[in-house]
Amino acid sequence: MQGSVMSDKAGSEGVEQTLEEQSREYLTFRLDEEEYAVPIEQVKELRAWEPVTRVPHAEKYECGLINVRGAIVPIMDMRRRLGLKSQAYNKHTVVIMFGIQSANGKERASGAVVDALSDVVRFGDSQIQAPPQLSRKKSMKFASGVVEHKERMIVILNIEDALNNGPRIH
Amino acid sequence: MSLDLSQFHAVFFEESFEAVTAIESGLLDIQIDNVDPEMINTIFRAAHSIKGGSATFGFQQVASYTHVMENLLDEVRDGKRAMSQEIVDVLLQSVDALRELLTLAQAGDQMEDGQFAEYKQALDDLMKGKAQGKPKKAAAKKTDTKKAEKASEPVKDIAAEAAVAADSGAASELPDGWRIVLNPHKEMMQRGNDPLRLIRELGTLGKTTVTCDTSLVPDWEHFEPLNSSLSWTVILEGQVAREAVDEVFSWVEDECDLAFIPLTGADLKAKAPQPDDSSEVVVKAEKPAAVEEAVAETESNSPSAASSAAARPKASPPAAAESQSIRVDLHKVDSLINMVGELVITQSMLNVLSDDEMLQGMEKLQQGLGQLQRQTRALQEGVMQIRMLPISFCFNRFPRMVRDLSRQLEKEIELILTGESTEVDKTVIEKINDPLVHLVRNSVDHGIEVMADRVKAGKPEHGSVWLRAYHQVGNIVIEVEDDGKGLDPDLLFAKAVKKGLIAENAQLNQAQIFDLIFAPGFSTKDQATDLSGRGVGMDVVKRNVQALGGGITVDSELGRGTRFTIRLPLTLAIMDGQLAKVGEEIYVVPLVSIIESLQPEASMINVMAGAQETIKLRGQYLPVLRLADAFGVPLSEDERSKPLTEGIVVIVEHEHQRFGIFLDDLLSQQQIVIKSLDENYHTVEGISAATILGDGRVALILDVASLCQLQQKTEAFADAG
Repeated sequence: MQGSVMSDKAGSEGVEQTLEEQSREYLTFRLDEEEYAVPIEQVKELRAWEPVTRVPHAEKYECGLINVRGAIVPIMDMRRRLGLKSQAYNKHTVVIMFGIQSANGKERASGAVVDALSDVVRFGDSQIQAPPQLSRKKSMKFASGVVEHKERMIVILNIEDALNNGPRIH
Repeated sequence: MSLDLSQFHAVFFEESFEAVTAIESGLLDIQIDNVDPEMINTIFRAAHSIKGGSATFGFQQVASYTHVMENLLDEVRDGKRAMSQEIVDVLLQSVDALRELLTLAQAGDQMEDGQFAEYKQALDDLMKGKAQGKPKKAAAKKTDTKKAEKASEPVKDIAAEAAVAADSGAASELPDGWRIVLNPHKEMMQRGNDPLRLIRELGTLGKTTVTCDTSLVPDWEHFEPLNSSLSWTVILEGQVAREAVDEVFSWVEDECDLAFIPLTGADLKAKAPQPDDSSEVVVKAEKPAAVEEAVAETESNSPSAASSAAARPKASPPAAAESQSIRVDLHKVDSLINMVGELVITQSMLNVLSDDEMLQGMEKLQQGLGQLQRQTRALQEGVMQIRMLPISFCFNRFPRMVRDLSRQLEKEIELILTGESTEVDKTVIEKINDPLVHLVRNSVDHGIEVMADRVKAGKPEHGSVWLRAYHQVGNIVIEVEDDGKGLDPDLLFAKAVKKGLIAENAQLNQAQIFDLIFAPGFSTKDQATDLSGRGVGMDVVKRNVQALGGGITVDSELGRGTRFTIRLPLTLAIMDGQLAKVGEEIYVVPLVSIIESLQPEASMINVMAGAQETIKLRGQYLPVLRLADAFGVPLSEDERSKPLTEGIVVIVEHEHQRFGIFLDDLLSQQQIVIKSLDENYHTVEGISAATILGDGRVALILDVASLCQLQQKTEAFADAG
């Protein structure tokens, strides 16, 4: 099971894995030369970029609302959310639709605009390290861990925190 | 029975709560001096069905409580006990207790023993106190008495025999055996009940001898294998309690005709055929006379003892009402409504396409699209109708409330309901309940004077409170009116000044003064009672009504009475909207809030106190809110500062306050499906909800109330600057 999905050996190299070890599949994507990952079970759907309806008084990183089969769903710009420099959307731009637990326990739909998709990879729990403390990098703001894959570092995002900007009190 | 009963709990509770309501309204309608026996029967049936269900599902407290209620009602029904105000009062209290018990049971809980005993004691006391020398009866015997009473009508011998025998049986403890006639209804097997299983189960109680009547089996060509055409006579030997026999049939009592005849030892010897194997079914060609008659009776549909014997009559009041409705999970309805909403969007998208020049020539297609539009709208209206319920669901609780309150206050008050059948969305009904309770309490408590005062004022001793509902142009209007002392404008004004709500020299017209009662922290009665008052209420009422997209007004004449008028949208799911354009963005203005729209002329425009723009309309200066500014719509500098004459001002009203909203252009008016923003996002100031337009894009719906506040804020800012 573990490691079998990986396309090359480099990823599992040097990692001790036991049969009992838990592993999960992650969807990886790119944001400004950096690689990020989210647990795939939180991903509901992938969509191409489409025009959104702007919301008054919204945060800078919020793009607006789109219609997903009759439901009104907010979309946010992941680059802006993480404080990276923004970039015009192009044909690779993808909107990842998430289902996340909100404070009241219900599943809430929300989307994030990312530069491009990379891959689906399985990581064992032991492969994931805690995010580096005191990192100055803004991209670590919502990191729940980091993992090395193909000699690159992938940041695993806590997508709930990133997407839950919560209702603002007026 | 190893069935998972919990899946039926929801239905049981729903039905039970309905039955409780039926008992309550029945009790309220009873006239002590002239008791309608049919009314008592209705109440009895309702109590009985709760008892039956709760016993089946193992809610012991509910079952034993309703059992006592039922006994009491039974005595009244049999004329053994005269109906009295006391009984009605105790029963009404027991209705509350029953609701409490059911609510607890629903939560998977039980009432504390002490409290339960207390509740039950009240009923028991009444039973004992005036039982008129009649000993308490056991449940089994009670049904028997009922049967005996019915048997006194001219019914066929099996019934009479059953009844007479039942009485003697009950007198002499357990009988030596039973003759049980089981005549399944045609559909019994289709419901998954197998008569043979019942007979087998009887076999576990004692030695059985079974005779089958095949006379009703039709010819081969008319034979329906799914229907049951057989009936059985079972002789059960052994001293078996009636309850044990009842138990066997408890699942099928509504699906077959049953008769239970207790037998003595002598009967058994004489009647029972003696086959070797007692559990074997003996098929007999000739039909036992008794069964034939039982069948005949069912066919003629007479309420015979045979068909109702011991069967706990499931509350089957007017059958018409039952057959006309089905229970559907609300989620199913809502998802249907959602899908139709989608269809409407797709349809309007096609409509947009049909304007395309390329398609202009295709007449058939155009026709089809026109037809589709009409049908879609009809379908949408039909589907929305499913969610509509008569407002009586909400009104029904008020007679009881007014009755209790007026007694407590020693006033005589008549509540007059009109328009109970007016239909409105279920959500609206649920949410309007609390505000109405408050308003009615208010009328009873503060509105209607005490009797002495009324007489002094030359009014009839008993006060009246009217609760009315009717439709008016796409809205439902609910009125709460009383003929009490009315509101005193001077008093209200003085009070508001004292509370610091208004300035001493404020210039208010009568309507504005009356509106003060909706201000937070305003209570007209110095002595707050425990019924209403405390000054938290009217403002909450108003907020609740506004949350439903409605409004409330008050009208009063000193000494004559007060009338509250609530206006609500019929449904929270769709509304008529005016599409409007600001820059590249499209917003929806609720049509109900729009007073008028106009393109102002230069002469109308004034700029007051720095930045606040106003337009003068028929002598009135109305502040204007530039939506582009309020919502930060991206615009060029020229666009942003363009004069009001180059756009449209929509005049809206909120709480008697009119103001203008400045937009670039008005687009079409259309019915829109309201989608909550809360579901996946959060509320936004100035926006009430969103909708999906014909091209599939999202448009935001303006919230006039919060825009009004936004406008006042900018106004205050402008004043300060």
